[in-house]
Amino acid sequence: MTNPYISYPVRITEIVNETPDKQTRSFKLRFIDPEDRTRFRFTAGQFAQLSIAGQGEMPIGIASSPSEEGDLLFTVHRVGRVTSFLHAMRVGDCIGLRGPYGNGFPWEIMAGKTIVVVGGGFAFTTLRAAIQQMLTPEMRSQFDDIYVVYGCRSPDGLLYKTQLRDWQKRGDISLHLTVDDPGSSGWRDHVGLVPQIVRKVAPSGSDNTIAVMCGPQAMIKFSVLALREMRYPPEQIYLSLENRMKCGIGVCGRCNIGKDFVCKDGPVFTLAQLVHSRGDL
Amino acid sequence: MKAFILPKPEIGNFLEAVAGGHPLWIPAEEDGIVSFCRYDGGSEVCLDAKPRIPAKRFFLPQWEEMFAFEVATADPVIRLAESTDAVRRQVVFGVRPCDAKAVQLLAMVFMNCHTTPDKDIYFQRRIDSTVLIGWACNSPDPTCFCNALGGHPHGQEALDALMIDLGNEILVKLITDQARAVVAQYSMAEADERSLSRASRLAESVMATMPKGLKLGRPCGEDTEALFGLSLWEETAEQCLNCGICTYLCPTCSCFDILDHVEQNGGCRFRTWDSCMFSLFTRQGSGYNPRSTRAKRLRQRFMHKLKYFPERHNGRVSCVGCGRCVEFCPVNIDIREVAERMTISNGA
Repeated sequence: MTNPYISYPVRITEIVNETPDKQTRSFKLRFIDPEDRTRFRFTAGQFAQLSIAGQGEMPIGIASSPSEEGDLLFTVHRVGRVTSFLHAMRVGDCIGLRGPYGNGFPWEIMAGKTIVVVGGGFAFTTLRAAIQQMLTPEMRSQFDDIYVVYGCRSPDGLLYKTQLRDWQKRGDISLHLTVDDPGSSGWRDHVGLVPQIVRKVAPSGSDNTIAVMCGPQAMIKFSVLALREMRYPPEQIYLSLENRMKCGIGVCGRCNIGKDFVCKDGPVFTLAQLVHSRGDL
Repeated sequence: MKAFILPKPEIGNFLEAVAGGHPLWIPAEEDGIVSFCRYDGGSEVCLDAKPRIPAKRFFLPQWEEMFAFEVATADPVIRLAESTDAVRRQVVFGVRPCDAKAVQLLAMVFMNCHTTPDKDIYFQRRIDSTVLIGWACNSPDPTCFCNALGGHPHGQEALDALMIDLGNEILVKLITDQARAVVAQYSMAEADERSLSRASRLAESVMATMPKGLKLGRPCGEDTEALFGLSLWEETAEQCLNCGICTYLCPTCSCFDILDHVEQNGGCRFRTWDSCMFSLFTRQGSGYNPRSTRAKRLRQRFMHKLKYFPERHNGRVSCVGCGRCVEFCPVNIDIREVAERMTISNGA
């Protein structure tokens, strides 16, 4: 009998500061036993529990896509005790990783559709995995147009800046970056809140459109309103949620929204699934 | 199933024989509170009141080590040693039928884990190693309502054995092989027809004293959104202290926290009971809390028991009618009244 609470040992192989304030860092993690890497089969949109013995665990979305071989990518914003401890660790240090958990994005439903990805701030991690997955040569033809609206308060806050530039150069994805305040950075992209940009650049809702979203509460709330006005049905708006969680397997009881556990039944839900329990959001 | 007769004065010898083979827990009175205590030969069994803390503690202890770790400086790899503490067989005597039934409901959470093949190994080990000897309720408390949830004061569900007090003798029903093995050391006379029919008449007469017409199963048929909108939550929350006693004493409440304990070069990861009544239970790293008010937390407790759990588990309500939350709530919040108010439609 396997114990679902025991993590795979992994080693930090690379640390990247995503933002100049150093509050958001990306960690590449390598399984110490290569066999564990083959056991760890995931889809974009799933998450894992990163574990530091003596500190605790943190549920973090997997930012690398299954199409990327080798080390797994996790981008962690420093907030509390465990994330702060991780931020203080160095390349070569070992931590634990268990998962993958959750349902991931609805790939079967997304196939053949126009995809509108809406993201904000440091919650862009699993959306990165999803976009990366869709842009692989084998996968790209399975989707119609791909729109991405990704916003931050300022240009500094955007994650994966090199990758964003690469995507901008491509002709098969329509990437729209936006900031609330460009400052003196010579910003040449959109200025304005994510929902405003969604209204401006995303196609109207139809049977052929799927919106996939992850970001702060306010962004989600107003982007949902925008998409509803653009006639996206609630069944075609997918939200990736983050709640406080401990076990990751639907047992410890805290991450539920109505009858659904974010860790187990989510973290990706349609708006239609959540509407009846919105008092829990 | 075989049934035997144990003359009442022999109960001490019977427990002695059982304890000879395995660690034994019995209900005993300590500082005026009946709780399960480790039998040590001298302990006096108390069967007058149901133990305050239910038998769930044998499957989900209030504090349980999950594994130990070592943080050696020379080698940064963390070594994990799983706790093997829980694998020893133990016998719990004097378990009320409601508490045993609750173990079945807990198993739905811990051993299904919904869709993963991963069972909760700690719970599983304890299920495998624990023998439950039940004690039928002949005089249920005024706060008892097991019958409203399909239970019975003489119910046998999830028990390995059931003992029924017939006055000067005790009828011992051995339900599982585990129970037969545990009492094999003690020889008892087989029960005759007369004792068996006395027991079934007694079961009927006790059942007749139970409350009628409670609607604990009804809220699960109601519309979620309508239930969320009830004024009940705000009104009841005005009384509620969010003290959490209802969740701690509930035989089916099983929410837990996972924490690390550290000493110099090592420590352990452990889990403890947690409660949906506490605001930190759901507070996120950002500071945002989806259940930030007492009303929302109170709603969560009742919705989980009466609406979400049945929706996930074939209509089974996550309450066994033991009445502890009713009896011990410092402000008299009563799940029977809450369920009544959650029954809003006029359906059958």
